[in-house]
Amino acid sequence: MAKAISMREKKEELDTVTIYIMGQGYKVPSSLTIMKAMEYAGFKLKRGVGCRAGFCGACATVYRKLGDYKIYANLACQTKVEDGMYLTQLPFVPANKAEYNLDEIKPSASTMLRFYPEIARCLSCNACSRVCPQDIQVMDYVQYSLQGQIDKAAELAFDCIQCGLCAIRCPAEIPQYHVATLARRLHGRYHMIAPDTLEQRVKEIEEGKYEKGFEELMSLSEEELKKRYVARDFIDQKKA
Amino acid sequence: MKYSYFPGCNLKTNAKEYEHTAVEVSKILDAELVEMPVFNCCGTVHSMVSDNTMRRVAPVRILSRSEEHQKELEDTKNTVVTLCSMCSSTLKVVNEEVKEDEEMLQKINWQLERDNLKYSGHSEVKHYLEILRDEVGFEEIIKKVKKQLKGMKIASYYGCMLLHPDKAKIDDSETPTVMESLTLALGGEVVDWPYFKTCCGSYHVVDKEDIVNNQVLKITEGAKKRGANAIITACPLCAYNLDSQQVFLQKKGVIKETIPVFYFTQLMAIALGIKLKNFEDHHVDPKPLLKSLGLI
Amino acid sequence: MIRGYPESMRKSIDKVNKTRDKRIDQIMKDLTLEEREKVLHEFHPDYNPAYKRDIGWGQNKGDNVPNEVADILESYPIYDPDEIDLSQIDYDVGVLIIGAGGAGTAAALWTVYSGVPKDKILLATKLRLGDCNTVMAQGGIQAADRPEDSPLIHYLDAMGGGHFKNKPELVKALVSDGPKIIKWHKELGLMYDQNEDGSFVENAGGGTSRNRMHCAKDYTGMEIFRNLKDEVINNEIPLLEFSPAVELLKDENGRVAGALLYNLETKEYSVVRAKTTILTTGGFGRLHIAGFATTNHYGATGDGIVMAYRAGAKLRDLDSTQFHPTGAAFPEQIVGLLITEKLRSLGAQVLGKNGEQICYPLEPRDVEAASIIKVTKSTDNYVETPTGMRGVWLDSPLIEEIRGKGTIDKNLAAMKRMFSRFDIDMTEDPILVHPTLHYQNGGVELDEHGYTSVPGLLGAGEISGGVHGKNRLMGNSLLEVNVFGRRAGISAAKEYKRGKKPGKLTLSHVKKAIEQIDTLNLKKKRFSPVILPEYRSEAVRDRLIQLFESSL
Ligand SMILES: Cc1cc2nc3c(=O)[nH]c(=O)nc-3n(C[C@H](O)[C@H](O)[C@H](O)COP(=O)(O)OP(=O)(O)OC[C@H]3O[C@@H](n4cnc5c(N)ncnc54)[C@H](O)[C@@H]3O)c2cc1C
Ligand code: SF4
Ligand code: SF4
Ligand code: FES
Repeated sequence: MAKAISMREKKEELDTVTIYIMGQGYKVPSSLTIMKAMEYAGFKLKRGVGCRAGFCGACATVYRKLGDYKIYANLACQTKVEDGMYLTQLPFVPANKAEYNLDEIKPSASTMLRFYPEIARCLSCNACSRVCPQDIQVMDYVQYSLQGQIDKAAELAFDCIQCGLCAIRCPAEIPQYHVATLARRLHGRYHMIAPDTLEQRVKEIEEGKYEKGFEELMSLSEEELKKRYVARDFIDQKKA
Repeated sequence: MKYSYFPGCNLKTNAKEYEHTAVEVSKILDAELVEMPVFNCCGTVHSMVSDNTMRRVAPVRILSRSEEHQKELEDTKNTVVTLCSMCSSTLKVVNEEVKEDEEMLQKINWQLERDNLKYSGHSEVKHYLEILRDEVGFEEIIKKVKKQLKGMKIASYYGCMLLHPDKAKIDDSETPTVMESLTLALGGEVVDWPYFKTCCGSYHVVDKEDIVNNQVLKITEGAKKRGANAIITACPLCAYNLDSQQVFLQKKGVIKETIPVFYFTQLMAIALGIKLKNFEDHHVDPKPLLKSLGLI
Repeated sequence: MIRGYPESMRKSIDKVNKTRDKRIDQIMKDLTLEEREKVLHEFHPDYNPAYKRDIGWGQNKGDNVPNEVADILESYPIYDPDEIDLSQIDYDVGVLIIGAGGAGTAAALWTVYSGVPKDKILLATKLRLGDCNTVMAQGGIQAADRPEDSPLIHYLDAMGGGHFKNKPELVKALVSDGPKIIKWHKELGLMYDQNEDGSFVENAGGGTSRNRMHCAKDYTGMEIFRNLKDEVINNEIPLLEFSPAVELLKDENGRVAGALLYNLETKEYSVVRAKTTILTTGGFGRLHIAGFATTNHYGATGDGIVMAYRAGAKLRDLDSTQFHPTGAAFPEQIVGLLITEKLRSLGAQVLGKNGEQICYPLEPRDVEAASIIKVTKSTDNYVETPTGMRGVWLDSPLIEEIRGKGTIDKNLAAMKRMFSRFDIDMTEDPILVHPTLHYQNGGVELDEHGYTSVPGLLGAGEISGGVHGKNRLMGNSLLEVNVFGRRAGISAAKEYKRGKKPGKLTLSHVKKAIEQIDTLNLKKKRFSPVILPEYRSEAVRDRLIQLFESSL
């Protein structure tokens, strides 16, 4: 005999999906992210959670979908649950970070190779780019690093949130996101030179140019200060 | 005419002057090298990978990316051009292999599918020397020469990769002539010598320097004995080994005289009247020779 | 669903899209000072007495603060002080830094730069290195380094923004160190955006009279943090992750002398003895003040103020809380997350359900937030989502209408990516927003060298009070984190060089606090620090309680 299903049950049925968290099935509302669904199911998260907004890269998750051979990866805090999702979280990604002193190195291929010789092993399989939740062309920045095109590597890798998914998928065992950090820091330090006005201002402050002004401002009463505040001019050079 | 040009890694790091001169020369000859917008390593270092298919993903990716690039270039051919002889050899071999083995090509294309890439199997890989010989023609080069390389006695060094294996060779592997013909076209003197394809020691420069030193000694001494005052090459690694190790040998007191090593494109640039940037990458200073011959 | 929105919301979107051309030059008038006061008083949560009460005990007794803050201050420790063996010291260090966000890592680095040997430092943090509010900051960091700007003008802007209730010495320190911090960051290789002529890209921000907001696309905080983090690792500074502090320890002389850490994995406590302790645990967004969703990271539970308070440190300015006017209100998955002010700076208007403007888009944050709450609470000019969340439209496509195609890609990549994950294209359709809990304006009172009112305890970052007065300007907190992180690090190094070894460790201050809390006769026994917020479904929690009870 078929069980009668009430309208309410039907609606609930529609609004929930079944997901499998580390092998166990759970019914959860379909509107949740993977992260919220795990909490809904009863997990109190410690690992694999951080900003909850797609910025910190703590919540890397891998999953399969029902009837699909592909393995997917994404951020648990930014991905909606789907029916039949079979998932697990990656508590963290063990990856070697080279230690260096930025003052003593130069932006070049040999620097990249010295600290991350494994980049020479890149097979150009592109598994890394495919898995990247930030849609970064990871392989290309690894290759740019190898070619010494540090500027291009740095720009391309700018949006990296260091989730580590690329490193997990890499057959050549390259810690791409650390490579990216090195490239960005070299580029930011040696190619993107700060304007002279910065040094100028630092000098002025160190020489005490503004001390008198501060003394005066700080001696004002709240009322007087308010007047100054209201009267201040606005310079808005739209060139920014 | 424009060519989809694949630089590879070395041209961007150790052989910048090779690339610079080649690109400048190519503009004058109307056989312009246009760099692919993105490219990866040719994959020559992957000999350590035992899986044969994976090894070929990198080169086939370049071939398919070049096909995309070719679509963007207006007046072009289905050709990928390289300057590095190592890249040339790797790409040629794999290109031939996947052309012969459709199943393998299919497997690799499955790997590329998710990146929206697919290699049709219809591209040709050419070293720039082949373009000069077969498509531009030495006659054309002679016409463009502004300054004959009078007094340069040039030993053409091919190394291994331009002539081997069979699938990858750009010339007859026993009696190649392309660099010699180029030398003549530029007004230089051809030196006939036996060491034109003696291995330079290749990557052993990293771990077994002795091997490289022995080879370099043999090659450079051989060139000098035949009266050469310059060696030309078409490979960044050969150039590096021949050039840097001479200085090492000289410091050790093994040799007295050194002989400058050039990329063929540098000499072309001089002959075609292009101002060279500098000779910073050279270990053996070529300026005294060029000055004495009035070439710079 | 059509391009990410349900049909019920589509109708309203169509109106917005249709009215765009008409609105492009339409400038809404901003409110007069009297009107501002009125809307704040009627609709801003800070002004609603139902959301607040006086602190019942301790050095700030009688201060009116949000209920959630009073709750954590009027709570018992999560461990039993009598069961902790303080003679068993697990880590004996010179400088302990609690909380590895921007302020904590900056402090750790400057402790090293100032000569403290790295093995005499311990950096302990709640979750993974990288879980913090700092990585989430998008908009930018202020520093007065342009010729037409000066630290004095920056000073005025910050004081005015804080309703003149800021502590002047702190503001002076903040604005004077600004350029120095940017210089330091450049030495670390930060990729601050630059114009073609090499000058920095510097934007305007709410309440600033000069363009001085430096940015690194819309990942400014992340760019700062990942560089500091990389340096922490390069400098081999000892780090404990997943080890929140749950209490400060003192010695017999009443000086703070370390902390009790809790290992989230093994659930063990460990005792750290330190000559000097720097508290950099950040803000309290996850307390969901007044029931609001928040932009903050998971570990932002205000632990630092609890620990500092029990140790006797003075707090200030906790009566005011910053609600960001624009948090996401749809889709459900990202409710509360920050929609950066930059959208409005670039021209996006705030609209009601029929596509007409409802307020001037660049009022000060509190006024803007109150104006939006007014619409969703006292009118029917809002849009309701299928899950019952109310919001108003932020007309993002207008940005490209004004500034040209590609503006969003170039300046708001993170934002665009967030929405595209849910099939919403913010260059084509507007986005739904509602105010969200954003920033802890007040906190532990500091002096300009980073000292709190208790010997042995320093602080820096969002945990502190005084720098921003009653209201923080965008871009001043990333600066604060670096300025005071640096200053605290330098001060801690001085203490390290001069200080004697701490005496015998004690929790007597906590026992005294317990006695005082006892006198409050709380109806429900609460425990703090909170450490992690509770998001498990009620059904699950009920089940857990049942299990627990049946096990007794
Ligand atoms: C979404 C968002 C956008 C922002 N945008 C801007 C902006 O554009 N410009 C700007 O200037 N400011 C901005 N801010 C504010 C600014 O980012 C923060 O105020 C600032 O980064 C705080 O830094 P912090 O180091 O004090 O705290 P955090 O960076 O939050 O670090 C605190 C650290 O302490 C840890 N911790 C907490 N409790 C404990 C404990 N008990 N034991 C051990 N460790 C603990 C936390 O886990 C965390 O790692 C933004 C904030 C948010 C949330
Ligand atoms: S590059 Fe790697 S670490 Fe960075 S975001 Fe992409 S997958 Fe994550
Ligand atoms: S996954 Fe590894 S080997 Fe494959 S392309 Fe990326 S970096 Fe190279
Ligand atoms: S929790 Fe930070 S990216 Fe998901």
